[in-house]
Amino acid sequence: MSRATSGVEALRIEDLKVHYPLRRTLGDVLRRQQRYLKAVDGVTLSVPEGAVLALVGESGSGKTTVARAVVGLVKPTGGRVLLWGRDVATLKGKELKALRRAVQMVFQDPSVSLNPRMKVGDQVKYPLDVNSIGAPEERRAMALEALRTVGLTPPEEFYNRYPHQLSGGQRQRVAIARAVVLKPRLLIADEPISNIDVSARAQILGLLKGLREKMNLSMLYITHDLSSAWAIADSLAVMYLGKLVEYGPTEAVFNDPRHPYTKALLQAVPSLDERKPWIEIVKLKGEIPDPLNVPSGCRLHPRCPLATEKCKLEDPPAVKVGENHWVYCHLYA
Amino acid sequence: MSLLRVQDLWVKYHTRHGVVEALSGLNLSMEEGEVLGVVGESGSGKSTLGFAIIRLLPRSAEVKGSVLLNGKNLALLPEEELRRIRGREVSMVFQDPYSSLNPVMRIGDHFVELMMEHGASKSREEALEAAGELLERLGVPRERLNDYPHQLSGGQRQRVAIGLALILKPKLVIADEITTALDALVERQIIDLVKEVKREYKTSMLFITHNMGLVAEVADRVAVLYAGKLAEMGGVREVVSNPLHPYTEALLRSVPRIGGSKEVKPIPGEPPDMRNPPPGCRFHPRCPLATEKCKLEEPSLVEKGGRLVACHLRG
Repeated sequence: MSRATSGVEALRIEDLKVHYPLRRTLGDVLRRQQRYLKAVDGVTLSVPEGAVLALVGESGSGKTTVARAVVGLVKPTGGRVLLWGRDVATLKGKELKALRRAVQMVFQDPSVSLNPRMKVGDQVKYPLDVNSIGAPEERRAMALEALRTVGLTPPEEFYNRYPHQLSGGQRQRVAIARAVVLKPRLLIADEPISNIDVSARAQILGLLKGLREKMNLSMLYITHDLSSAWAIADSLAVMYLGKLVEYGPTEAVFNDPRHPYTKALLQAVPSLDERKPWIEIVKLKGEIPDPLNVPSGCRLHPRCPLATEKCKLEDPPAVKVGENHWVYCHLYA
Repeated sequence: MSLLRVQDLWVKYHTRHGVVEALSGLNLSMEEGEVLGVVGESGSGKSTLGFAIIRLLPRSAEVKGSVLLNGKNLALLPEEELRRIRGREVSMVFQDPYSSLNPVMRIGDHFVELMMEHGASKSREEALEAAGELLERLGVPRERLNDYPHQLSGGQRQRVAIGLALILKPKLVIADEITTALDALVERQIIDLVKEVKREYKTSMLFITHNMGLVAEVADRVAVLYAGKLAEMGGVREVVSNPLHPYTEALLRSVPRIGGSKEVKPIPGEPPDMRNPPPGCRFHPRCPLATEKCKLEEPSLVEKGGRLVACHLRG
């Protein structure tokens, strides 16, 4: 399956699979088998240069695993990760390092991702030290500049503070400064606003939007918060239990969701506005099943009110329902 | 007579780093059958309010003022009597359902213990029967009574916690960020459940959250807290569609609305350090409309069009 995008792709993921081996029980050993948790099971995505793709889904959908595979924190079991058209698995040494440097990640919880015993300025400077960028005396100035870029002003004052002296929002700004100090071209942001206070959320979201413009960043924005995805993303990919269910331009997916899961997810958002009457109401049964015990066929079928016999047996195909808008559902085949 | 009347409530925490003023002279009341939403950022005092009502604040907290539930001042009750009232007249549901569940006790035994303690059932069988019936209405299969908390899904655990809060038919339930830890679809199920409980049981609820959209869906009235004080209080529809206080306005604008503008408009600055709250109006350092007066004089809460607002410019 191909999805035509104009121009350069900053990131392309092809049929990505990440299967985690489970600890073998005595039964497994006797049966000489190894069981796997299929966190990501065949995902194809693309982020065109300069674009923001939001990857949304509930806990256990595999969205964070996709991010970790992109930056090399987990090794894919199958499929390919291409950065600017180059397969990272085929690269080595300097080339790989340069490519990795162009891709930076911001994690969900800054109180975990930052070192509590290191001055925040030194933490922002650290990637420069590791990559030997600039003369040692220039690095401090570069770190200060990064702190200024993320709105921690005056940067000289923030440089010498420790994470515990900052608010949650400020800590996340430090984590973002540490990511942008290397002047990356692709930013992987994994739930960057989920673990901070409401008022700081909008600030961080605004900061990311601003950085995107200023630095011409491409971004993979991972979230379970649909309203932030609306505000920042050009396109949207919805995941459920390790697979994509829908993929398309943000407006198209929000205004005309096709997959029953996407519809349910959109309707679930508590909203100040009245319900959108044109979106069909889908009530899913129960809760997301154990990822160790993935249903056959379409993974949503036990919960989907529209499921047929076919859904229980066959994997749904990718169906094109609009310009760059794809849905993985038998109902549209 | 109001079901709940909170009068001039002050809560201070004595910490190693100084005295934190969490609530500064709060007044509010609730009618029977009403859902009052309480919104604000972290540190606004919204959770402190819930804990102060049911008197579960830590020892380091210094409390002044009164909390009248059906005319009875909970602030003055001895611990013995409080035990009789908690669960039976007022109960609480927390963000993390594990905080109300004992990991080594079966779900059913939670209900049995609670009901026997309060003399609400004569036998174990009777208690389990009532619990099973309630759980089924809350969407949890009766068989779950035999399970331990870890055997349930996150949504089911929160349903059980709601069940424990409802089983003795209290007049008031305090719900503190009860959907914050849940995934979107489970959150929706719990919101729908809260609406149903409101319709069927006519339980009054103090619904504490940081999410305005959530308040708009479940509450009748809303109290907006900022830095330990009431900024605005009124009917939820009016407040959401026409906020009076600049803080309410900023809070509403800071959340992108799906289908609306993609511009992000955060509230500038940080919430104040409550060891040393700003003088005058506590919102003035972050308020785009602040004048000299706002820096010096504290605005009082005044009525305007059936609503209460504390603002020099909008009052």
